[in-house]
Amino acid sequence: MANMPNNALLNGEILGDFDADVQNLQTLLNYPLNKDAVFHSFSACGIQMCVVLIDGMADSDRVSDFVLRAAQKLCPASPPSEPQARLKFLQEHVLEIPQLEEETQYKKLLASVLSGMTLLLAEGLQQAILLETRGFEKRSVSHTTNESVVIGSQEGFVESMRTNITLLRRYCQSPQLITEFTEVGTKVPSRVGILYLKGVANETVLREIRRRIKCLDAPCVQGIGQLQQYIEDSWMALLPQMLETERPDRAVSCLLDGQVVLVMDNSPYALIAPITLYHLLHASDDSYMRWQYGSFLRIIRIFGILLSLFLPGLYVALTLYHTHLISMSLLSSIAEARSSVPIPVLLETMIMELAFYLINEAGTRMPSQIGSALGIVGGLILGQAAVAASIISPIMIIIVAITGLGNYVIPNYGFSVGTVVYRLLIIFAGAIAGLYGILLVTFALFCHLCSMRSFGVPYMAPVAPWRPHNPDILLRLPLWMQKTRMFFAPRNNWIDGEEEDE
Amino acid sequence: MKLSISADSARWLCVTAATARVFFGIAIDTPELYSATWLAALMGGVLVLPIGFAANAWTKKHSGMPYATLSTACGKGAVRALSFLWILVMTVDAASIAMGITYSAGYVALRSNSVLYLRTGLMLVILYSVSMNGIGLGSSSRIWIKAFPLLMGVVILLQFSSYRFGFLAPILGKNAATLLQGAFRSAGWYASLFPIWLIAKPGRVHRQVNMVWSLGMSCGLATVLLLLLSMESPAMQGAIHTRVFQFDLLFANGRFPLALQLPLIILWFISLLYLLCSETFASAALLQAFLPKIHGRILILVIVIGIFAVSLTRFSEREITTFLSIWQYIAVWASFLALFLAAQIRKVGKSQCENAV
Repeated sequence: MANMPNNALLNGEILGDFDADVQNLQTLLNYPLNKDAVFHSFSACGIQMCVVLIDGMADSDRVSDFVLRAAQKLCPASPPSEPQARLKFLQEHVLEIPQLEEETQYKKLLASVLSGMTLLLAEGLQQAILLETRGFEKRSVSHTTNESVVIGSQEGFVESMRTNITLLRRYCQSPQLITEFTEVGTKVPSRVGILYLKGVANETVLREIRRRIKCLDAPCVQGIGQLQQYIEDSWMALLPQMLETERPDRAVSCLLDGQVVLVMDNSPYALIAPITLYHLLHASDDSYMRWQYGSFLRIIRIFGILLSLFLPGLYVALTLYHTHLISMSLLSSIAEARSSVPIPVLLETMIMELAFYLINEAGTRMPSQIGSALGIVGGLILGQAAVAASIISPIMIIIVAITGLGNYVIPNYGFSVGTVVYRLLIIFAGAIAGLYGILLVTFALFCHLCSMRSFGVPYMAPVAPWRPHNPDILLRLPLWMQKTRMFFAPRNNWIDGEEEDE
Repeated sequence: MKLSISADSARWLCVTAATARVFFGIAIDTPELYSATWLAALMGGVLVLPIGFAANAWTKKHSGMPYATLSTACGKGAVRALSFLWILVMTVDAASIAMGITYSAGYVALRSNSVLYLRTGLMLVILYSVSMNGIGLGSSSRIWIKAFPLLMGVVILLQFSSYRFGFLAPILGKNAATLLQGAFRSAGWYASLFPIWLIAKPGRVHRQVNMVWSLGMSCGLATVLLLLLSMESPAMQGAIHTRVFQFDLLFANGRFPLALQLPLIILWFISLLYLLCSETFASAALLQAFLPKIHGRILILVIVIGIFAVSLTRFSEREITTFLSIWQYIAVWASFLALFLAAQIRKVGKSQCENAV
């Protein structure tokens, strides 16, 4: 594989020779070919300086006010000549930006400039100064698109990692909330933030997350979805082993439970690990409502998931093999409805399932201006016309509709996609071997689910294997009964512990 | 892949498997007990309890996986020989269960499908499920045990009006001799927990498998289920009690709408699948104990092929498995006695050597 251009130079360090360093940076940034790269040389306090930034990424006004103008204001008779003293002079008396750091490696300097920081080179210095001047255009915090709730916060993550971390800090104002930064992507790096509550997060899981991110050798990781696929436990599993959420309140709730949150530049989602299956079944506003209603909604959700998984397969199995299990009145309705349908029940089911997925996918891709037309196409034309043409039976429309509704109550998108594949397996099993086939496939899937892990944590815990837990798994019992963190948080964490008397 | 199961997972798998085995064995394969099926299950549990106490005593004194501690105390050769014997017994027993499952599938709907076709699908599912290792089987069996009462509750509610205490007469069934034979058979089927106990590793929550607890739970569950089954219909003396006839009594009994068979079908098949998986897993894990370098999945495949092959022969028929069950009970007792004796001899021998030095 060819190396990046100027690879040898990229791995080098600041020389301390002002002109040579400026020349090197121009080479690395492909200046003047690259019109976004800005190199502005100026003189202040008798020192030759150069600011390097990317137009649009750095806030030019901030650079002008707090770097250029600030440098011109202060002019001592003789600025320090010794490099360390000169550096200290610039940091403490000239530059008016609070966040600044020194760096010598071209690779890190370049990464910082490309992310929106401004680089300052000064004559006589052995290092470059990086200034926090990020000011690129970004989407403002708005409603969540995929995790709507009735009660609760309406804010959602955006594409800026800094904004997302700020949102998390607003919801969790604790000095123990730690943010670590790392990079992924060997050729085109992207920043990843690892957030956790010190003393509450599981150290083993944290170490494992750091290790997996460090071992990632992909040239480029575009987004949190790809990061998840690189670091998850089992790439073959259909269900996600990390939770993606666009809600800061959900992420903070997981932080308080001892989980670790990952955020990434240009991804309006946070990734949470470790998780169990029950995290995928819980919605954010379950705990904002009264426990009776929260529990009721969870039961409805589980019922919906079971219907979504098993209803089409059961229909196929019962009509093909177990007609004696259907009551006579229902059986005669089904027989009458299907009497004019020329295709087998399996094919009928698959056609309707396919039509449903097509409508689903089209609804996602279609421009919003003609979105309403989709409802007309899907509901009236595909459904009504197909029944009128005797291609499918009316009962199949009902089954697919109920299945679809059951799929939509699943709060997690990854889980809902996984159930689609499981449902297809169950339909085929029902067509091949009736209830026997469905039970065999269900058993195998169940064993598979119970063997899955998320960063070492069993997927079906704390129910199986049993671990001490709050009564918040299937039913959401009152908050005062939920006194402990999740089972993978350390027992002696500071949230659950008693405060010491002074 | 190292085949292993924690004590916490093992205890639930033991309960599920033993309950299913005893229920299957008595309800389907021992029809001559008539109305005394529940009593046979209860007596079998009592007969096998001393083995449970002996196993508990051993694990209390020796921490660690029982297979390893027995090997150290009694010698690897003795434990390996007994393990090999157990693998053979479990393979034959599992083949009988596989046959039972496929006959059940045929009874429920798939009469026109060949047995080979049904059994192949079953073996593939068992192969996949057992390769999920002890955590997959044990954890799922724990959840199944929690879901079981819900489904069973539906069945009981639906059948409640059909239960008659009068159907339990005569209490001793055909006669005392048949009842005693049934009790020994069920004791042998309970003893199928023994291999899982051998391979269970100390866990986080439960250090060892509590055999008395597992046996007690299995006995209680099996007794209650058989009692309820006995209360559904009177003893049909003189009927030809084939397996199909027994399935018919179990699933249909003619008193309630066939639509309500669904919960029974789920309970029946899933319980038997756990039983089959537990025997397959225990066999494969025991095989790995004396062939540690071989990958677990290969050993599972070997065992599954063995079960499949035996299930196509007469060895999986009812007559042979019911005959073997009594010997199973005797074999477990004999195994324990032999191992403890060997442990004692080695201990005395060692101390004599040490004294001599």
